[in-house]
Amino acid sequence: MKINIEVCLDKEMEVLIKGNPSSSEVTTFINYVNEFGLETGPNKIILRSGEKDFIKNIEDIWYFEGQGNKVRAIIDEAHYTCKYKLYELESFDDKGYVRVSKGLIVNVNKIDFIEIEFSGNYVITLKNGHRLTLSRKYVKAFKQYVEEVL
Amino acid sequence: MMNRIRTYAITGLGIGFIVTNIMLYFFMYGEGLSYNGQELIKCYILWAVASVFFGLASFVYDLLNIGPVYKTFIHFLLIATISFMTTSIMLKGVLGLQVNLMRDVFPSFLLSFIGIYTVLWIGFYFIERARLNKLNVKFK
Repeated sequence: MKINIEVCLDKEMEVLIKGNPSSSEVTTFINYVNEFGLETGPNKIILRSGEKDFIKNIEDIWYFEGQGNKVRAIIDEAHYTCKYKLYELESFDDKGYVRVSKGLIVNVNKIDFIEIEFSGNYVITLKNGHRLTLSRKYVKAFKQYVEEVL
Repeated sequence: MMNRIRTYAITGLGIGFIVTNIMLYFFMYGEGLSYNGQELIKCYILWAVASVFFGLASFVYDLLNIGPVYKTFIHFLLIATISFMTTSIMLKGVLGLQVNLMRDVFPSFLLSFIGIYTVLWIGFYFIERARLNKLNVKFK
């Protein structure tokens, strides 16, 4: 196995694996990298985009979105697949994540403001301009969380 | 579930006590009705029963999985219907008055209720907006 190291001092560490994803060698290495990411970085999360796995800072994620059985993590304009279920991600409440609807968990640090429409619907606007619906069911818990955490 | 039904019914009774007084006062001074002691007691009992239903009507906000505007509209329909029926029983059944409910009572009732709900909704909207503005400071 060849190891290439590209020096990028100002960038987050990135691991690129070139090989057959179904081979035991690659699988073992991915598992090793995954464990490395989880064990050495409690604020890191492994996300997948296409065929690549990325280790990302949890606080960089804008929100998690449940779509059927899959959970997507949104960072800026990029979408990643996350191996966790939404209910598991609720445990990230200590990192600023709060559930705002059945299918959404939002990073409160990425929220610009929240408003109520005259129809009574609550809308969360993120700092990048994305608008998300805050379900009425979660309004009370959301407000309480923001009061306590921010 | 039973606990919630009881809570709503008791809350309805509490709020209903105020509503009863307002309604009886309105009918006495606004519409020029007079009651003897027995009629007054019957009217109080009638409005107390209606108040339990007023309270139970609030279940709409808990049970239905629809938007707040629709919930409020259904609540409006329920409350207006209960109030209209109670008023009808009071005027015709208890006080024995010969009134045309649809012509003399219903239009003013409908207008009053639309007015009340509009004011309540606007009030709720601006109060909630002010609360959210306070909360928004935390996001800055």
